[in-house]
Amino acid sequence: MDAVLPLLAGDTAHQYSTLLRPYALILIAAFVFVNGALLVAAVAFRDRPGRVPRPARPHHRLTAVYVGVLVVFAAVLATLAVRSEDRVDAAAAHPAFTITVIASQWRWTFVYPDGRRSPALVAPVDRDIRFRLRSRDVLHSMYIPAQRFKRYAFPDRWNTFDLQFGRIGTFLGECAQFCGWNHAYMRFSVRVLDAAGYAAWSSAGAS
Amino acid sequence: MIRFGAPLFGWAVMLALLSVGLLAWSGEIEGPWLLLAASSVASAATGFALGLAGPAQGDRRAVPDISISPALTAAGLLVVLVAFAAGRWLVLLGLGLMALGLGGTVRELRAQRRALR
Amino acid sequence: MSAAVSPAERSPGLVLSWIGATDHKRIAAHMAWACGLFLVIGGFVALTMRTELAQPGLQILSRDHYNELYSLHGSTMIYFVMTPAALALGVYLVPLQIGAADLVAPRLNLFAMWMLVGGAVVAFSSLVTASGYPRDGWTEFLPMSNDTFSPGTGTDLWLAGVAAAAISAMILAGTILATIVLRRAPGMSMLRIPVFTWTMVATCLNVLFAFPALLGALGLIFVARHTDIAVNPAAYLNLFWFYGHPVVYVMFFPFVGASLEVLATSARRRMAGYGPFVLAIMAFAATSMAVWGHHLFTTGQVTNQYFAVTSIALMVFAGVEYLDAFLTMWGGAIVMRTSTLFALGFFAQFLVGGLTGLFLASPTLDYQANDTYFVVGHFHYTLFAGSMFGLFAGLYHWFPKATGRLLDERLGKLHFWLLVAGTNLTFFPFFILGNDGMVRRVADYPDQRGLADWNLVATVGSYVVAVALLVFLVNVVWSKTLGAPAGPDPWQGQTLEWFTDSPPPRHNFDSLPSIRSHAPLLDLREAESA
Repeated sequence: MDAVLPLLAGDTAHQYSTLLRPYALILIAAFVFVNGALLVAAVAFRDRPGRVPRPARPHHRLTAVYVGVLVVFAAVLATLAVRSEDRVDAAAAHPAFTITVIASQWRWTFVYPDGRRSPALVAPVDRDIRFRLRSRDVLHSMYIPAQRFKRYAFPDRWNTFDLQFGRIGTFLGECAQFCGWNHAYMRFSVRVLDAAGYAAWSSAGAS
Repeated sequence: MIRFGAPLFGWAVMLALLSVGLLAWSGEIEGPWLLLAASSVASAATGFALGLAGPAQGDRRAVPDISISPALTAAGLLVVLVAFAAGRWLVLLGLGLMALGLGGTVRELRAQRRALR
Repeated sequence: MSAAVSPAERSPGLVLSWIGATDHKRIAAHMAWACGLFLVIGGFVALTMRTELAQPGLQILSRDHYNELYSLHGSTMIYFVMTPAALALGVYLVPLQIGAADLVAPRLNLFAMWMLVGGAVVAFSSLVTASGYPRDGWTEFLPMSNDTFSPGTGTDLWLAGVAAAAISAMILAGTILATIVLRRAPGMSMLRIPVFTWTMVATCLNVLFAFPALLGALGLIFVARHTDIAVNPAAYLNLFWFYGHPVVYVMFFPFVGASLEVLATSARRRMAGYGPFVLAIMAFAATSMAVWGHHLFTTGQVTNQYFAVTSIALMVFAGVEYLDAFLTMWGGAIVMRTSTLFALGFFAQFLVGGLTGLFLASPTLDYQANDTYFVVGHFHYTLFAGSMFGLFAGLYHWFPKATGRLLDERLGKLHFWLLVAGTNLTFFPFFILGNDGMVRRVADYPDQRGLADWNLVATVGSYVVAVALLVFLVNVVWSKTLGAPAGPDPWQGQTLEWFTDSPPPRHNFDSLPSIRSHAPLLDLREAESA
């Protein structure tokens, strides 16, 4: 399975879309099957003049088989979920560098290895980047929809995680944990640059 | 006797198993494990107590159809709870209302006992 | 049987009787009216929120007002509507279903009812304080809810009100459970109690062993606000969610029980799979106590994989319930009354909530969906498209028993179809919005075509929901006085409550049939026709 789902620490968007396919398939199939069965039963056994309900009988075998099927599906989903979580939360072996993120009411501060602070997240593409996230006041949550990832910021401890940005461009970052008056507008921009572009930004000094 | 507590015991056993599972998976005794373990102990204890309670009490009861004492007691307790927001002096008022309400209930219980004698 | 006061002796005033009635049926009815009023308030608030969110930008609400409203909506619906409604259904039905004259400890139950109503009033009263209604949602996470970030008396009043509601729930759960265990009619073993009563067993267990954690969590907020002790935010999160997950099953189990009873009655046969159902519901309830960490996947503070596995395991128990619904219908002769439609709607729509719940049970997928509109869609499908439909199924089924009159069927079907349309129009777009990155608890969102369009659709849907609920209100008010007389057993019911008058006398039963299964009236009819 590792050949199909390579261990890409931090490539959360890819992990998400890879898990989504089998998961969504199972869930949609379940919806169609279960609601279809209920619909068929409701229509086929509607009360009609002269219709007599059949006396109920126990269905031990059918129930046992169905429970078995459910257990198998639950095991499949659980295995998929656990394996995927192993990958998504894996620590990268050699992160390129660490960005410290400070969340506060109601702005984000990204602190880069050279000590520079910026309200925007600027990152090179296709590199493992370590984040250390903390809050200055209440709970916040750093959410990048394009990365399919978010994590809480606590005031009393650091949350550390690795991300790898797979596409060049500018993306939206939001706060996903209610943090007061301006929570709705506590956004940040995520600029993913190629290696040369990032080097230029890095050496240019203040952003 | 065991029949009464049986659903509770089954429940408590399942909670205990789940809490042991959490302990094993997370590898540490801490907050989350405590919550589940506490619930399983509490439910086992309740099942035991209910099991000990024995068969239902006698059928003849004389509970009044109308009783305003519970409303008074509730009002009193609410005033006590509100006291932390609206002023500590309210605690006295709340306790007073509760005393009135509970006193009324005690009177009713005594009357019930007399009526059934 | 309790010694009833004969009507000729006293006729207490209306107000006194309203304040002090100890009859479980009266207590339940008063709770129902109260919950109905709170539903209207919470619903009106939701309409206001949806009106604001229909377009990007802030049109009618300030940020502070929106934050007050969304918190008011959630708190009202969970603490003061769905939880007490679930328990009220049990308060009314359990003694009738098990052949008892009343619940254990009537005055304690009356006290609990007043704690609920009074608690709601106290919580609502924070609206008129200078600090207003607390703005941190029904969850009130620390440190946001401490006195630094939420100063003023609003939060303290909210704490008092919610604590009162929690105490109320725990008392009622205790007395209902004690009644089931201690007051069953002769011949009614635990394996002969009706399906709905079994779901109340599960509900009461969840309340008794999870709600203390809510009191603990509220206590932590109190400590943080009124002492110098620094409270660990992660400790609050664990304590709160230890309550916060079981409570959603408290708001679900009674309605699945009601829906199954409605299906069996409408299909005119015994419910299929009673034994497996009992095992499933108890296992479901117990396991539901061990899944709360899935609310904390994105915090990095819990063992995600354990909670993913326990959360996914729930599908096995839910699946048994669906199998029983299917097998009950298969081979029956189903009368498509309004109650039947709502029961079917419950199962069909709750499935969407359940499957999206499985989606969220995977940490990888939850890292995207948590705290977005995807989750909001998920829990509105389970609680509104699911549980509320189940509640309506129960109401149409048991309203005749409680009032002696039938609800109008044509209005009922109009109510059903309008609600199906409105519910799905409102909440299905939430999945799309969440997938597109719209976070929750926001007065406004980025001005992008996709987000604005789907928000508009959802708002239109919410107005359709409002119309549907209006139709129901009209039906209730009209039918209560002018509805067709119901008689004791309008549906050919299977359980004991249909053996007595509609409405039942004060002491519930003058006599009882012999009880040999969980469907004693069905047994009686089959014996008579044999």
